[in-house]
Amino acid sequence: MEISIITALAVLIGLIAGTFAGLIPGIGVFACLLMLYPLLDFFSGLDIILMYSTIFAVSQFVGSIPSTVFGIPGEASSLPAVREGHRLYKRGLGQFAISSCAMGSAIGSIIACLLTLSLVPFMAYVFNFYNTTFQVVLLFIVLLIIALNSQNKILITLPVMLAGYYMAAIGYNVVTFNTFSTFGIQSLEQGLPLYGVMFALFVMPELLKANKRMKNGNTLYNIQSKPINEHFMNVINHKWSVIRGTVIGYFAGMIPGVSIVASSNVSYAIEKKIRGNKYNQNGDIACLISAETANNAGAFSVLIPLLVLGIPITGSEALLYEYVAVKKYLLLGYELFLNSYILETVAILIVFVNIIAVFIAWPLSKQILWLYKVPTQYLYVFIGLLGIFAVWFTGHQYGQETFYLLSTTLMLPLGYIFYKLDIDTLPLVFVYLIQNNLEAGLYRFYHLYT
Amino acid sequence: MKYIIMTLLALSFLGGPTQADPIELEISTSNKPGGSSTLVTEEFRQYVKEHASDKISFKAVNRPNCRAVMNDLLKNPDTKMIVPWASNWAAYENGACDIAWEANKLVGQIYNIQFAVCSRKDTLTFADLKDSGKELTIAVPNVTFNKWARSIPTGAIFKPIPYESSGQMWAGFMAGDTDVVAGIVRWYNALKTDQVDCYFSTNPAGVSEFDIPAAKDMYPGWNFNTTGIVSAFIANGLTESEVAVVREVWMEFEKTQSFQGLLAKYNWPTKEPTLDEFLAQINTSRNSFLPE
Repeated sequence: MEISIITALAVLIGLIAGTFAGLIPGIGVFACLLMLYPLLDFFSGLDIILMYSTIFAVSQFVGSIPSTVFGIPGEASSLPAVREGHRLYKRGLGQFAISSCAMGSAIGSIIACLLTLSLVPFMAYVFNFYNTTFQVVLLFIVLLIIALNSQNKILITLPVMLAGYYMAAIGYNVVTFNTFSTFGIQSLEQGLPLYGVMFALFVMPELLKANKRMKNGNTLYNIQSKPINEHFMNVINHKWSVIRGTVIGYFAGMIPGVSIVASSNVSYAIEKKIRGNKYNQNGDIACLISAETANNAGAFSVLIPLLVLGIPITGSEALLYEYVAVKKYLLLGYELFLNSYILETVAILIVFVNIIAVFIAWPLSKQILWLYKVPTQYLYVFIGLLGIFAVWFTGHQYGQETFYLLSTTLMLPLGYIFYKLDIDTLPLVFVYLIQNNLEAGLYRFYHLYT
Repeated sequence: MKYIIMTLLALSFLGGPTQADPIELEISTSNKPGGSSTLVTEEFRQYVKEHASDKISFKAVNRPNCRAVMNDLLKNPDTKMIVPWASNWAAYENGACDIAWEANKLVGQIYNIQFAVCSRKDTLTFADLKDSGKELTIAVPNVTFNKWARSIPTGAIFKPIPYESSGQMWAGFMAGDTDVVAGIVRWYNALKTDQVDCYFSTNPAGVSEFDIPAAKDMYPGWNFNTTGIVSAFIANGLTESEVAVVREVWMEFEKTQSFQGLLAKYNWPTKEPTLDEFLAQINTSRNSFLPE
């Protein structure tokens, strides 16, 4: 496998962006991808997938640091780290919490990669049954799981999802050759700008929520170093927790909508159960290792449905799929069927990324926390401005800056209402992103069976 | 005398050749997963940005389909733009996407795609195609191929299953959604890797490499495209000298690895025909797509 400078650059950007995503609550993989949009044009579809995988993996590593030290969940999957890691930190065992998270994460991720590589030769068989019927059923299952796992009540989620479908349907329909809800506005024939919708209705409400949560955070770093062999012995002593976390995390990572959040939380719950009376109320390192190993195993397996079947199972994957399919003409699933090297390349590279991530998340943990010296509201403002720039840049590429900025501005109050009402907008953006696949699938389904 | 010469020299410098401003024109792009011409458009746009920005300045305008292009042209017929036009656009209802061809509008040929009707390896035989009692599902990417599929004069009844893009159609076909696939460029590679059997091709000479007969020989009375699709960039609202500049840049682009790579990947012919040959090709193909 040859790695070009451009590919290396994509991975480097992924490492930096992943570190930010892991450190700053509210800046998840989704927001990162959106902010990086102006840069994506320089990379191939495969490079973008590698960048995305790196962001995903590194954010899981780094997310455990603010969780452990400050009790701030950098990522949604870091809640077990907040509970156990921060308690260990308060007991003066923060150094072990951080090192075991980093090492456990690396082991989980590498095993997940190797497991996937060994399965690659069999993945082409998926296409023997992966037809329209199967796809439509699978998409509906994904939607159902996302609806049930949303932070909203189901009666809120359903209209929110319908709103996403409606917004995505605006414009010219390539199946029916008619326009829908364009109100005679020619610019709307191409539909609402994707990046505007994502920014106004998902990224902004998430930033506002995170900013609110961060106001009460304590950001003092107080960790003493310990001999390195003690760190390794600590992980070896918890090897079964690592293995359990890997297996549970790997499979839970493929659950649509919840993926790594399920990986870490399910693994954590099972480990806690297994520990029984041995569970330490003041911070349990076995539970912590298991959960952190699980979310990194899941951070790789979450890619499998996307790469093998072309089915995104998280919001950020749907965004990634949209981008690589539209701009880079890489039809995941199908392309992978012909070029299994895509998955192999991702897997091999992720192993290297993990090795680097261990250094970021362990020996360099103190250094990267300097970011918390910057008032977080400034960071959020900066990221918000970056998002607006990304929207402008996208519009500029099509010579439609005014339309992109204006439509985004008009959607921002809606995003603010969602924030004020504490409505989780992930179901909306997910439906928005897959609407095209869903409609085309249903249309074909109708033709096949009538 | 000295001053007169110096003045003349100074004037000659002032009036001499200067760096001309780049020609500003629109280029139609698409924000939806596109077909072959969208792919070439993006490559060409990128090439101009990197290598010919002193000659051409493109303003990309998102026009997701041929109707959007034609609507804009109807409203503003003088807009300076280049459009990737394909002969199958003539097949759309009421000639909505058809365009009057003039030689001086041609920027360059994009491709001349030949098609084939194929099935997955060992799932069908030629006899199945001739079987009048048989209904076969056929994967088609758009309205053109829907009509094309219905018009194929085999014995079997074809039921077109619409896919949004040729890539998705191919994936669905390989997954077993449909019996037959038609009009897709990927069949050539699939044949090379022994994934499909192909029964006839729109290539007027057939495909001797794989012993595939020509559709026009097999069905002499069939005229709903037995030649393939010809696609080209055409200019609108540009002067002849501007077309010449854009055409010159296009010719340079044709030599690049990225364009040659596309030709190789999709098995498009590499020879740029003469203008007369090209017009004959596009007219033949276009006529065969015109609604009856």
